[in-house]
Amino acid sequence: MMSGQVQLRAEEVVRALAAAAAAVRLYPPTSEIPAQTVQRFVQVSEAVTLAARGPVRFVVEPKAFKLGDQIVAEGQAQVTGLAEMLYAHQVGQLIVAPGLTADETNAFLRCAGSDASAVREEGGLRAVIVQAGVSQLAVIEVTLRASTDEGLAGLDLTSAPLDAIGPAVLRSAASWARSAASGEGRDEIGEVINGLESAARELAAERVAAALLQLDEATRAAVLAAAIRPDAGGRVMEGALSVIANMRPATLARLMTLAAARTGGDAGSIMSKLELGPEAMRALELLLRPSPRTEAESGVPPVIDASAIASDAVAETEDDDEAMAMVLATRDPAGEAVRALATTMCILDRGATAESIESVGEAMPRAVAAGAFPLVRTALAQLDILTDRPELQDAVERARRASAQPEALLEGLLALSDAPKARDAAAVAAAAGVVGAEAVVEAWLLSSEAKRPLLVEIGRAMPEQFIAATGRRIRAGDPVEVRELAGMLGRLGDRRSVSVLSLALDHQAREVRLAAIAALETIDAEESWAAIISALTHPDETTARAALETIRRTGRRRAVPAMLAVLQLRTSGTRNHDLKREIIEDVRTMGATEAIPVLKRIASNRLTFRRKPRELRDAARRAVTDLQAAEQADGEKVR
Amino acid sequence: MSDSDTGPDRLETPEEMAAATSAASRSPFSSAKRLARAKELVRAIAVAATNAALYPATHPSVAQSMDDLVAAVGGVIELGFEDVTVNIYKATLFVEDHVLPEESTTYGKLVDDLLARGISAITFSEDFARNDAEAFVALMGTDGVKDITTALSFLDQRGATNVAVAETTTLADEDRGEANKETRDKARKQYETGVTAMRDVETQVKLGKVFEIGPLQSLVNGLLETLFRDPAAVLGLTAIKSHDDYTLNHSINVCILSLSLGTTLGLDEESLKSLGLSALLYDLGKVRIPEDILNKEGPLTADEWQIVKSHAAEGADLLKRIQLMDQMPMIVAYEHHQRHDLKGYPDIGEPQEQHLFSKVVALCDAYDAMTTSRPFRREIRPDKALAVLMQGRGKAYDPSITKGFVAMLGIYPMGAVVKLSDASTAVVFRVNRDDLLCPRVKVLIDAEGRWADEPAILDLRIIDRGTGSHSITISECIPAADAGIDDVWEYL
Repeated sequence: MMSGQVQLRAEEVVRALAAAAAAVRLYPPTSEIPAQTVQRFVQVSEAVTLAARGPVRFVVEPKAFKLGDQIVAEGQAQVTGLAEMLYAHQVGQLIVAPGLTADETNAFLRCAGSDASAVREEGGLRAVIVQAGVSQLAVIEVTLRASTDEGLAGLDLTSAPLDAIGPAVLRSAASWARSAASGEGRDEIGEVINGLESAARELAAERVAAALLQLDEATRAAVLAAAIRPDAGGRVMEGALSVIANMRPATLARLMTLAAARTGGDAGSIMSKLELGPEAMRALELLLRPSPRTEAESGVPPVIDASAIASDAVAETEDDDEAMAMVLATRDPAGEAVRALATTMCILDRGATAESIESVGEAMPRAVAAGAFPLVRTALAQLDILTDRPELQDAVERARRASAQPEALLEGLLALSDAPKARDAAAVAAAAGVVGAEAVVEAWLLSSEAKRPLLVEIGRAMPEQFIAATGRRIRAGDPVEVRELAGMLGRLGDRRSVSVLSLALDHQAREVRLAAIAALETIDAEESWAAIISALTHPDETTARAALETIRRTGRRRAVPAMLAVLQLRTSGTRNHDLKREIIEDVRTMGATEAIPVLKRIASNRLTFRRKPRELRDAARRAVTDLQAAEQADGEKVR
Repeated sequence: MSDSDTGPDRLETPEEMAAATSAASRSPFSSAKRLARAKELVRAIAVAATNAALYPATHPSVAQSMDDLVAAVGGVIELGFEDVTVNIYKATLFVEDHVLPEESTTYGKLVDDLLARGISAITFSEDFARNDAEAFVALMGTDGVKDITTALSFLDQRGATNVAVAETTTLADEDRGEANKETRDKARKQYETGVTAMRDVETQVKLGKVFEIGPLQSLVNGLLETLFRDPAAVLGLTAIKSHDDYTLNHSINVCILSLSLGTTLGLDEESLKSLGLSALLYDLGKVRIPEDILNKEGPLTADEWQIVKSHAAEGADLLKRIQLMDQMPMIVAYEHHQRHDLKGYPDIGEPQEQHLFSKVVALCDAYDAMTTSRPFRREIRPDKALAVLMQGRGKAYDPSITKGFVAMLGIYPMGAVVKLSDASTAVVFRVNRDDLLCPRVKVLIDAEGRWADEPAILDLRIIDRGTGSHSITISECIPAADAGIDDVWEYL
């Protein structure tokens, strides 16, 4: 069977030969063109016969060529001309065999281009080209008969119908058996095939083998059984056996088994009578030998119920759908990333090499991104153990670095769902250092309120890196972001974050400063208190008032000096009269008698004509009165 | 049916293929309830035709049977069809591509009456209504219509726009067309390119070099493309077996089987590419196992067995640095012998269900290995190999996937060589989804052992109306070599 592509290439053969014939006819011998076209034909022929794994046969019609049932290169003038030329020589078939040379082609074209009647007188084109040394291009003249002989010798094996060849082969084999029994056997198949030119020989052998396959199996086996029967000289029917030896291995193995059963011998002894190539021999040996292991040993049930299997396979249940859904769910990128890391860890367990360590590192980012922090933590611990081995230290370091990919960490942190995982995430983030801390900060900003406590816990597990990362962000961030971060530090409640929050107190956006004050209030430390107090002197009255409100809420006397400092500020440039009035009210309420001197100074201010400063003075006066009264009362109590 | 334009094997996308072959819709009439509607449709046609022949058009029975026919058509349309075709192929009734063996006998007269009018297919569209039913019933009630042209004009004159009749059925795709042959040849070329690519990989790995993944990705992409265009052309390639190049052919066969199964499971294209690559490389670790152990004919010693078992981890080791869209090749190499019940190897610390791909590859690996001749045993017939897999459900193999695999391949898969009830020998070239036991076959060798010049094609679903059973059945499945057949693929 010829594939479509080979068929197309086969058309090229005809076209190339037609072109060569035309060139030889039209151009003088001195021209390079005939040689070039002949060479092209040789090349195309070689390619096609190689692809077809043997000779290619064309049927020659009066004005066309056919390949199988298909007309090829139809309507091309040169091809029509070549067909007409060959047909004039009564050629019915053209066979192109592998190994064709330019010399043979030239000889062929020379003969074919000669006058047809002259060629006929010399015995026909077939005889003439054989005489000219052409062996890989053959022609079959228009007749099914190869000669006037009867039987196989009278058939053209390259074109006669297979159902005519088969019985003739059978008769030849029977004839061999008879003649061999009585003396010297006559190998008619060998004679006929060997009598053909080499281009046609292979084709003939193939067709005889094909004809044998169209005989019934018993007859086919009988042919082989007859062919291996030695004659008086010990010779076997080599012609038949050579044809049979070219059968394909499984076909031949079965035939040998049947023939062996017929002759009472064994297939192995028949094989020894065939001329087989090493490949064919090996294939046959494998086919003929018994199986080393039985099917039962391979777990095959002795009897199978095909109907039951079919019913079972197509039966549909709800359980099946559910089970299938579960199985399909294992196709999940996050889960696969975790599997990948687990697998690289198993490989690492088998033997630590720089490569196996790096593979762990390569698998880590995806696992981190999938939120597989417990496994990643274990992997990091596994790597830690290996740092003792100097030759692996570089690889370990690279692997650890690989786990610290910002995007992966962020993705993993955003996927966090529970506290135990958060603890592992904290370890992984801590191991990632600055990158880890920054990822936590980023995750905080991107997370919902529900998830933020988990991230605070992670921050708490790596406070210094976390606070430092927040500080960097506070310095660079936009107001909304910085306000959020200030709140986060407040929840963290770590005194080390006061310096960062102090930065926020100086932020140009008021809402940031207010958030920082709120955060500082939650940190129970002297430093935070000091920072809030410092905010009292902030030029923005709202900020200072917020600080004041915080102080008021906590009722801290320690703030009094700072409050007094605010009162003493020169007010010409600022509009903080309301704040100062509130401070006066607060120190009065607190009973801060140490404020009396400052208050008196304000109370004694006479050059006040505007309303607000006047209100301030009046408030100071009232406060001084109340505080002095309180002081006096205290003094009396002491006495 | 909606896919009638493209034919059953011309599905365009994985989603379409999945829809056509997934467990839920393997055949449109795979469940008893759905099948009952198909049967009811045929019954309604037969009753309407009988009543039309017995009674005048005004008779209440005729009116009732027309209403029943409209209802029966609606019942099938409700299952998701745009239209539904009742086919007659070799005197056997089908609704769409689903054979109805009993009805073929019971309603033999309907079959005869339709064929007498030159009709082999009747298509009812979703708007089929009473006036269409009247026209169709009238057609069946008249003796004057003897050919399809007259039948068509009869319906046309009566304004029947939602019922169409045809002289031939789409079931009669006797053999693959020229275009499909081209696809088949292309697929074979891809297969051979794949063997070469895998040989290169093997060589590089043996030399301790890094191999190129690009050619393997191209191979998988090519196979997928062909699979989407012509699934049979690709699945048929698994009939190619090689003793000498067992490892190479085996990995490509496993890749093809896995891609086919993955498609029926409804995986998307990216997943299929990953699965395909994993299936090509899952056994790569065997290059680190001495060949004399792998090919040992006798039983393995405990030490040898340990060495063989190490190939899974060795494979994962070789694939650990391959970073693509995922690391599935490494995972599948590591997991493919862990078994569904996790009693396999290598040991895993914390039990974790095998990945879907590992399960798919394990199943395809087992099937192809069993059906290929090995130094230590002959090949096992496909039906027996499938029986082994079904027996291993819930143990070595995932139960659902195994069922899907068998439903995909059929009991007698493409390329299976079977002995038929008439003693002839045939090769299965197409599996019928509606009847896994009755595929379409090509008869290669007659009962006396003569090889056919042109193999005859038989659809084993065809019913002998005389006996009411299948005309020809499969007696047994036999190894191709036992039948003397060398390259089964040539006949697919």
